[in-house]
Amino acid sequence: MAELPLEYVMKTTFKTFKERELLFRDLEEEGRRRAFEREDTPKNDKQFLEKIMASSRIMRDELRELNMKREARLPNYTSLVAEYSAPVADHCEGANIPRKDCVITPQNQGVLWSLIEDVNTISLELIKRECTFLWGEVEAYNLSSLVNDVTACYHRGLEIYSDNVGKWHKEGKVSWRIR
Amino acid sequence: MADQVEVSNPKLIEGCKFWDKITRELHTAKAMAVQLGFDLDLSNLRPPSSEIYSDRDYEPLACRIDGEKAEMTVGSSPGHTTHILLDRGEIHYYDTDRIVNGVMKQLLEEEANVKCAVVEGGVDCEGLKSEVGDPQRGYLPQLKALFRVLAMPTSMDIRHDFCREIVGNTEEYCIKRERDLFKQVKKAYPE
Repeated sequence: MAELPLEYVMKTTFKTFKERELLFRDLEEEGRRRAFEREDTPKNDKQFLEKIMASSRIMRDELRELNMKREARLPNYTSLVAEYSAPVADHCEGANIPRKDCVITPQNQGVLWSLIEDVNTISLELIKRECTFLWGEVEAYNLSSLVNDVTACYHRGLEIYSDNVGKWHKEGKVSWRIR
Repeated sequence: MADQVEVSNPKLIEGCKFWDKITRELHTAKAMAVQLGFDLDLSNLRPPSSEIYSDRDYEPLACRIDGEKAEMTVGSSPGHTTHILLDRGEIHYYDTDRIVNGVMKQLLEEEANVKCAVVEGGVDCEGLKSEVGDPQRGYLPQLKALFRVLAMPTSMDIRHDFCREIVGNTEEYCIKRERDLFKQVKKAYPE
């Protein structure tokens, strides 16, 4: 039997805004922990990044439902960065390379590189600052840096999600602020 | 529910829900009134209309209430919106279509008891009171009348163009056709 899409499983398991927000915060915490463990060989980083991708899509969709299409672009692009990061993590894990030694360059990951640039452009437009901390700042950009940056952008998206979705109630095409 | 009432005006919420119901049913029904069981017969209009809203125009419709303000998306064109500022008694309908602006000005004045002017880029109205209508009925009917009017501008330009394509249909006739449509909507959705 085919596996259910992760996004669907998350949506149906965590039904309320509060439940989802808690799940998303746990994921953020997990991202920081994984990024910190630089010396370790990645373990299930691919699955973690897929969870970031799925939950970012949920944030995107809920923001879009509230007609916040502009704000939804940040989680949307974070989901894309996570999607393109997952195979990188899979490769590092398969080759048994510690996170700090699994180097990512624009030459070996062109699409991912340009997506990180895009997510930063969107972040600048929305919150007046780039959402990554290490991209373009460190000499050897590696899997640890990548997980750190994906988590940082996810954090910014989560802030937007919490500030908006949790404060609005929607019924049909009508939405109103409740907090 | 208590905190919802404090933050966003409940009259605006109810008004928007009324508008949502009208637009949803008119769209779903594709104006086939008989199937819906209410008296909305467009077959006597010339030409008979098969639908009131285009799918493209219906999809983005939205009403967003924050405090005393409602921001409505009433069509698919960028900027086809309406702002209702209840605390200031103002309605701002944004549209670039001359015909639609003229019809909306008339309907808003007649139905919502406001004073309106067609301006560049839409219709501006003032004099909307948060306590308009019958105090015994919680003032809501008049505000609902406003939201009933706001179900009209969606795809009105398409309906009008479609009407004018028929040889012999004058601008006056096609405007009257819109007003006739509103009368039917009003009858089908009294409050």
